[in-house]
Amino acid sequence: MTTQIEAHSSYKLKSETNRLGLWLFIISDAFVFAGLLVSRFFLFYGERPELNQLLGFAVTLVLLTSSFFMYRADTDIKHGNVKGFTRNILVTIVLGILFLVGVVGLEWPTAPFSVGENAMSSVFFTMTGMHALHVLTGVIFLFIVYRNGKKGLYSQERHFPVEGAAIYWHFVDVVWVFFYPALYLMGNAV
Amino acid sequence: MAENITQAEQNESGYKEDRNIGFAVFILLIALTIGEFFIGYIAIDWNWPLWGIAIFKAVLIIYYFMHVTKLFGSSEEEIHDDTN
Repeated sequence: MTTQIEAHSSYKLKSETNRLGLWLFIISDAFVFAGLLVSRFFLFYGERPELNQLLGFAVTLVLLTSSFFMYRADTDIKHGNVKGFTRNILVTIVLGILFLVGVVGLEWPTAPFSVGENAMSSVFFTMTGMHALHVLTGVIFLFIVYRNGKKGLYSQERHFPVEGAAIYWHFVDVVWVFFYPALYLMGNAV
Repeated sequence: MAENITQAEQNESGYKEDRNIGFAVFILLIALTIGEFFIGYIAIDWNWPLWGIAIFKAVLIIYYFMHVTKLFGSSEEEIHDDTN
């Protein structure tokens, strides 16, 4: 019993340290995105690229929905519902892929400029590309967590990787919360 | 035994509460995004409300979905400290 208590508190302590490290990474990564956001307003303050508004709106809803399912997966494992966790994380992965298809597969080919054509196109492709890369990384990370979950590696007591994946995924969502209005809604379309 | 049942019930109600909070936040996020879309559509130079909405949405996600308060040890502790 004592060994069990010791193992549990040791895991909790490790999780706390890991959580702190993850947040440190998230904050430093946020500065990269903040820099991109500043360059967008510095280079073309009152203007925005003429993009497909409905597509931008749709991919935003897809990403928000994926965040909701990630939250559910995180909540499920916290309460010992492993089946619900694997189901919800799978939905999150599918929605993440759908977002990537929307941005990279549909928005990029129909954008009114090509890569490096002007400052606006450079900023647009850098912002969406950098974000898409993070989404892709998140999808890969979620897939690893999904597979480990299927193998039974996580339980109600031990599930920090799920929490870590969830924090990372929500961070990617927070970034898009700022990128969406900055790219699609603010300024005159040119 | 009775104590165990109470703990299980507490766990179950906590689970439901967590799920309800998540759903409420999600609905709010969707509503704000729809509002954002229409503001952007109607008013071209109306940037400040869009910033306000974006910040509010970010705060909701960071607080409710990312559980930022866990960093300070003040949030809900793991609900199942049953090893003690």
